[in-house]
Parts: sequence; C-alpha cells; structure tokens
Amino acid sequence: MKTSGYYEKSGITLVILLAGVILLLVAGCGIAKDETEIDDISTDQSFEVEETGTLEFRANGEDFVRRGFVSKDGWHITFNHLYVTLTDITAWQTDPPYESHSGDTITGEVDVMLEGVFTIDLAQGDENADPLSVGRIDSVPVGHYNALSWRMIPASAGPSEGYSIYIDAQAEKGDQSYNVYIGIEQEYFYQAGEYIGDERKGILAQGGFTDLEMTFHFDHLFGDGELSLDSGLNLLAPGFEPFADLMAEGTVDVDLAILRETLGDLEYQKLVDILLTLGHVGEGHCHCECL
Amino acid sequence: MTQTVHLLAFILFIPAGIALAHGVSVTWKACGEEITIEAAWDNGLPMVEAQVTVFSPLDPASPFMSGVTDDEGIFVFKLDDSQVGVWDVQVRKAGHGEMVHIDLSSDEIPGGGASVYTTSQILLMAVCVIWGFAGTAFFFHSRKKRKPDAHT
Repeated sequence: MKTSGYYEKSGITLVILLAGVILLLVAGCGIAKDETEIDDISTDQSFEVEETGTLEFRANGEDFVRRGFVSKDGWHITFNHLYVTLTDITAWQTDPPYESHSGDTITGEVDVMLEGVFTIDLAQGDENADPLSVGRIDSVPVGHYNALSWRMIPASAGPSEGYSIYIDAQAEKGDQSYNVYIGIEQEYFYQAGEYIGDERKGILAQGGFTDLEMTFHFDHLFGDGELSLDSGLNLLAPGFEPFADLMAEGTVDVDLAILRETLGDLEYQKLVDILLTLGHVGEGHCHCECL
Repeated sequence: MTQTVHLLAFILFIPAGIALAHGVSVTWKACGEEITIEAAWDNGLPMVEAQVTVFSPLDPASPFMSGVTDDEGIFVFKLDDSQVGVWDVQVRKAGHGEMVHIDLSSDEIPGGGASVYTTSQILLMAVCVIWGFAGTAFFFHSRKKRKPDAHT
C-alpha cells in the first residue's frame, strides 16, 4: 500500500520535473522571439534612417583573366571577353554573421538591393585595373554589410545572349591556336558572408563610402599551370584539354547542352561541379545553388 | 546541433568556435585572454604560413594585429579584454580564406558567435538540466525508501 508520504514525494518530484519543462519551453520561446525580431526589422529600398552613406557593388575576374594565364594542362588562354550577367545583387547586415558553409538562406537586419540586370565583361582593363563598378546606391543605412547575395542569369540580349557566363578567348599551345567560345546557360544563386582579402570591406559610416565585391575565380575552371598538378585547385579543375578535344576548324564553340552530349559523364559532372565554385567574395567562398 | 555544441561548450567552460568553408577549416579556442586559432585545409593538412588578421570590436575597419600561422597552422594572440564585443579573425592563403567571429559581448555566449541564446537563457537552461537531475534523484530515492513498506 502506498503511503501518503510516497504520494507527497512523488508529487514534489513531478512538480520539479514539470517546472523544468516549463522553464525550457520559456527559454525556447525566447529563442524564437529573437528570430522574429530580426525578420521584423528588415528594410527595403525606402530607407528612413538619419545616418546614411554610399555603397558600391563591384565585379572582379581577377588579374589573370585580364592578362591571360596558363591552364593546368599547358594552354595559354587570353580572354577577349568574359561576360557574366548579374542581378538581384543584395548587400546584407547580418547578426550573427552569415556562414556560407551552412547552406542557409541569408536573413539580415538590413538589406540593400541594386535594382537591374548587369552584363559585365570581366576581361576589361589591364592586369592592374580596378574591379569593375556594377553600380552604386546613395543614402543607404550605415553599418557593417557583412553578407552579399546575387543571381547570375542568362543575358536577354547582347553578345552573351542566352548565357549567364560567356567566354570569348584564344587558346594556344605549341603550334595549336583556337578561337574559344564557351557559353553557360545555367542560372546560379550565390550567397556569401564577408569579403575576405587585403582590406576589410562593407563597413559604412555616416556620409562615408564602402564597396562590396563579387569575385570570380576562373582558375577553378581551367586550373593553374603555376601550381602542381596534384594541388587541390588543379585536381578539381577540368582544365582546357576537354574543350580542345571538341575543336572544329580551329574553333571551340560549345555550350552546356553540347558539352552534356559530348563530354564523358565524369568530365561533364566535374565541369558542372566546378561551375558552382566560381563565385567568391574576394577569397571567401559562396554557397551556390543552380536555379 | 551547432547550438547544442555551443551550449555544451558553455556548460563545460570551454569557449570554442569553428568556421568551415570549401577547402578551409578555421577553429579557435580561448583560455583567458589568449586565443588560439587553428587553420587547416579540407584534407586535414595545416594551413602553414597563412595570413592572419585580427579586427577588434572598437575599430573593426582596421587590423588590431596580424601575423602568420606556424608549421601546424596555429596562431596565438591575446585579446584586449577591455574591448567587449565581437572580435573577427580572418585567415587566408592561396586564394582561400575564412573569417571566425569571437563574441565577448556581455550577453552572448563566449565562443558561440553563431548562437542566438542569451546568457540568461543559457543559465536558465543549465538550471533546468540540474533541476531535472535532482528531480530524477529524488524520484529514485523515494522509491528506495518505499520498498520496506511494500513488504509489510
């Protein structure tokens, strides 16, 4: 027979456990509340803040795109034009900082979008040229823009029409010389954290100026002849040889649809995988999705 | 899962953080004011002589200090603990880089830069865990004391 003391103690225990559960739920509610608050204070283009500055968005194909380089398999490649078409370029202020490896969607306290679609020729300028200005917005809220997202979409007109990336280059090796036209019709969505590089970008003070950079690493595609073949970059890079094998009358003129039919399965998959890694913020990696 | 790791780190008083990117892994741990950064490639090899730049909360636009990792991919530095807030540390080499965030603000978890828990919430949860253990102990204690009654 159970004594009244037993019921008393069991009751106390149950109360203690229930109290613990309730407190945990309260703590849980607090976490959810924090997330909601972040969503609630997101802003759009109609800023009503007193402290503002100017934010510029830039695109950079890096110096080796402007001066040419040697691929991992010994092809000297010089770019006449290297077009990328960018849109929905958005700077974010996020807290905590966005981590691209998480694969999450960026959410931020402040977001600033550059309206429009921009086709940029990353091969413009000499090797010492500054990154290309895509556009700037005046009177954006001050703060630390520590995340960046953009879409890369097929161009609707112009020399790269139909392609999000269009390479117009010359490839030479020994006595071989090819005109190279490679179009990528896939659409991509990039999300990145803070710019990684020589300088810190994205910190905007009252009346000040800052810039953010979309950086494209085309050595990931062709490899780098200055690195050993067993370097991480060269192991992942398709190189130029797979494209050279598709040469017809001194010209390589292909797009993803043709490459899907003509490359081997492994080579095609290697190409598709590496295209996801082209977009960076300086040396910082992006989370990239095919759309 | 990450939040659970941060919570455990807090309970065990071992501030720690990690940032992973394609090709690079940068971790940090704190012992008092001393911060140890460890950088490695994704194949596990240390990032030797990687460039490290530390940014303080009071002047995040200018480097607080800089240096390079050693042969084991390690870089050790001392924080100025009078500067409360987020310390950012950038590590990069050969076109790959990552930034870790060390949060020393008063209402955030040390080492939990990506956490959304406040200190009060964490303390509350820690109390609940201890309370839960105590409750379980009371329960079994009461059962043990009850057994002689059951035979009489």
